[in-house]
Amino acid sequence: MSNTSPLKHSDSLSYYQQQNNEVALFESAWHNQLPVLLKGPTGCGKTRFVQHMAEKLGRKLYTVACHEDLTASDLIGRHLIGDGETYWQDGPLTRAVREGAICYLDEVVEARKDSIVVMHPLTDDRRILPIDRTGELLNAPPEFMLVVSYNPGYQNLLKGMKPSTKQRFMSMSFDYPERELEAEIVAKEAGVDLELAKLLARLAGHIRQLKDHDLEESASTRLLIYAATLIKSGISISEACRAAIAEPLSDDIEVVEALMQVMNAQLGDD
Amino acid sequence: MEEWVGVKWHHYITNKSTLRYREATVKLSDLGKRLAVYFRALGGDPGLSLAETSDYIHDGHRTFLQKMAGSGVKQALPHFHNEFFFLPHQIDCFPSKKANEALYYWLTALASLNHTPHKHHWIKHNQYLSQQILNNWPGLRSRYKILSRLQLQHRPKISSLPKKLQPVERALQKVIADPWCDNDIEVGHDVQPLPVMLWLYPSPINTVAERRDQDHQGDQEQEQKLAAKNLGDKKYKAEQMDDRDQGDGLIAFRLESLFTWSEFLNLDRSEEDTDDEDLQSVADDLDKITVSSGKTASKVKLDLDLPSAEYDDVVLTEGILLPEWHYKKEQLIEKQCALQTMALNITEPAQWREETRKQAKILKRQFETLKPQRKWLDRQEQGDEADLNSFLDFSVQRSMGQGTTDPNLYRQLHQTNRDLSTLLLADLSLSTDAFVSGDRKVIDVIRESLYIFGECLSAAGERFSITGFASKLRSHVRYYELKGFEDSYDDTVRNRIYAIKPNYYTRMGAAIRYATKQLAAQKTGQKLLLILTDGKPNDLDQYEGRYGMEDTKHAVNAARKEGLVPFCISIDIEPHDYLAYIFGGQSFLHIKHIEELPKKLPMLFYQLTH
Repeated sequence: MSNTSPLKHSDSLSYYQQQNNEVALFESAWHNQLPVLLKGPTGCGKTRFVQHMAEKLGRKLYTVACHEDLTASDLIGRHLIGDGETYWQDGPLTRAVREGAICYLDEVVEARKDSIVVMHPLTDDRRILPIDRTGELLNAPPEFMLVVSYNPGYQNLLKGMKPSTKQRFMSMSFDYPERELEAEIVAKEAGVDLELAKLLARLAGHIRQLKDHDLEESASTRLLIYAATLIKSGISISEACRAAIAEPLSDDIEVVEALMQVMNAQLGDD
Repeated sequence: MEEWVGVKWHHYITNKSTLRYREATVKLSDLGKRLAVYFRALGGDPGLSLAETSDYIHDGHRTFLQKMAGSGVKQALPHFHNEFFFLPHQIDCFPSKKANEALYYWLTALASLNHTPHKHHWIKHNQYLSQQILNNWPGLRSRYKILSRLQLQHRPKISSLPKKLQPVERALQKVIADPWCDNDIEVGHDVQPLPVMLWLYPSPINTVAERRDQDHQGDQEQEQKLAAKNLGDKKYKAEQMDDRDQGDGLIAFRLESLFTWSEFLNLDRSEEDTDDEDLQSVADDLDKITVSSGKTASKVKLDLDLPSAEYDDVVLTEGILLPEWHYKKEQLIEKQCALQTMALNITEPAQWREETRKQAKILKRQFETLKPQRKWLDRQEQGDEADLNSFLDFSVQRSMGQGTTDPNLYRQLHQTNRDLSTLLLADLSLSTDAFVSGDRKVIDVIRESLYIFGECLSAAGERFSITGFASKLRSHVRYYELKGFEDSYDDTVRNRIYAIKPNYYTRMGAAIRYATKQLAAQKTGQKLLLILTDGKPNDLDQYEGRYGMEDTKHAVNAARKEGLVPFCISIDIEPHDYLAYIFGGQSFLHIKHIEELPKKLPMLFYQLTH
């Protein structure tokens, strides 16, 4: 269970800057026991949002990063062979149901289709989790919530979310924040002054125009925070931008150079 | 000896009179891609492509030495024209490579505002553009300082100029030094200062045309001949042009950068596609197109007649009406195109080359192994049966005290079902009639590719359809279904593939929309739409250039919204920018050597879906 990370409720909420009305929407979904699907590009704050909401609602959070080999028993649990006997070990989903926690499946399309099916009975009005292997039938308490996320721009021809699965969730779209807001976020997260953060956010806006045409992914808020953090720790602006923005975005030397020129045009040669 | 001296003198005086730093030359071909990305990132119109311009005659003042050397008449000036932003093919006006490179970036930055400088107010307009860019991109200020200083060093001395040019040059230098200064100078026709390297210029094609209109008396006959000659020469090179022809102003740019003829013509074609159009009048008008003031070569054949009924393929449906996207109006015009599904006239049974058959056989064998099968997967974390082997290993290890915490002790019968439908849409327009090598044509390669593609996919048990299209205006979009989803892949289909032939034009949007309908009706989870084309969308009417691209792009996006995965395979001569614009950067592949297509097509399918 190395990929689960139960979070302790602390007094200070982890920082999240609201973009629209997502906080209220999420709260009301939780109160009404609706499962939630978060859509949005890489690094726009989906995971941070779930963390923030879990803390705000005072629920424990189980995060599962989905991958191709994720099986149903990774989610539900399995029998382990112990010393002369076998014993049952709950998976993160089962544990979240038992404890009335929030279970967050990150990048859910990465998981195999058959493992996704196990959450179907949890996502309709039954809200149950049958565990075939032990014959147990768990009724999810009202506090339990299932949250999944995926990145619709992700280009793999045959990996998408089944429409029938999609329909089981209330969906919220995330995107990179508005320029002003993004600058605030970068300034706060990386602890740099607002002027620098504004420049970075402006730069990101321009680089995002290249999405699809020249770049597969656009510059995420996360990358901006990385760049700001590097600059704060004394790396020169252009070095930081190269390492944290240009290089991660493309492997094509020409595109990287073009991005560096754009950065120089914004921030100056140093 | 006399000649030798002449050559030496020419080199000496040319070098003396034109400041060029050959060792610091920067070529556009080396920077092109970077500049294109830079252009788009700064806000340049992504529908435009970057291209090279050659030297042009300009009206600027020349120094005594230049006049003596007969040089400095022409200069490559950056400008917009149609769907291109033209940059000089090389820059060598400043002494360091770095500065020349910086100049390329600076010009691209100016262009990213998508403004063509006004032809009568180009100083003011460039001043405005410079201000905008320096305000928006403060990082460029230090660079501009260096560039402007260099440019000022290379301006003529004011005192050396004729009296009437002096105030203009003075004001101009002031603007270069400080784009924010006050400037009221207007440039008349008679006093043109030397071009400024840091600025954009109005399209020289229009300027050339205008100048011609002014001194109308030129030998028009001669010019037309020259124009026709030059226009026909597609390999026209711009490098170090020493051509002294005065009539070649028409060849304003490198023709390689054009894909179709008609893009060069500055025409309003929207009128020609009226609802009650008369095909004959369209054809008539086309013969009368004029380029600048010279007539086009009438030998360019622009229209193609439909064949008589007895030779034509069989029409299956009388016009399925499809919409088309009008990018200027920004609306989807309903019932704009009529598409007919057609059946090919099969005259002879398929006879494939031995080589092709062999290749098909090898690939088919490889694809047979991909047939979905149920198979047991060992060492699973959960499954229907215990995996005795791994349990044995596990028990042994445990008794030795090395048991893993995560033993995989089960076997599972794994269903490898494919939940995928694929539709291949091939462009069968007349451009595929071109020769590839020897006596082989593009269409032959496409034919063999479709055949091998079909063999492979049917061997792998895939669910697929093969179709083709061609068009003649919006009333005749022909759609050939060579193999439907329900058809089995047999000799009938092979004969149909063998019977394909080049036809008319490429109204891609309508064909994609119809293919989208076909594919969307399939009940599989995944739907792959492969589009095989050898060029840009184009048709005889306004469906060309930007219009065709935008319509196709709209159709592709609509397909995506339907849950399809569109992917384009291009066998165009060059991997043009327009592919990324239409299909998105990750959704196309350009195949350089078209001869490899038959082999690559099934492989590509495999890569995309496995």
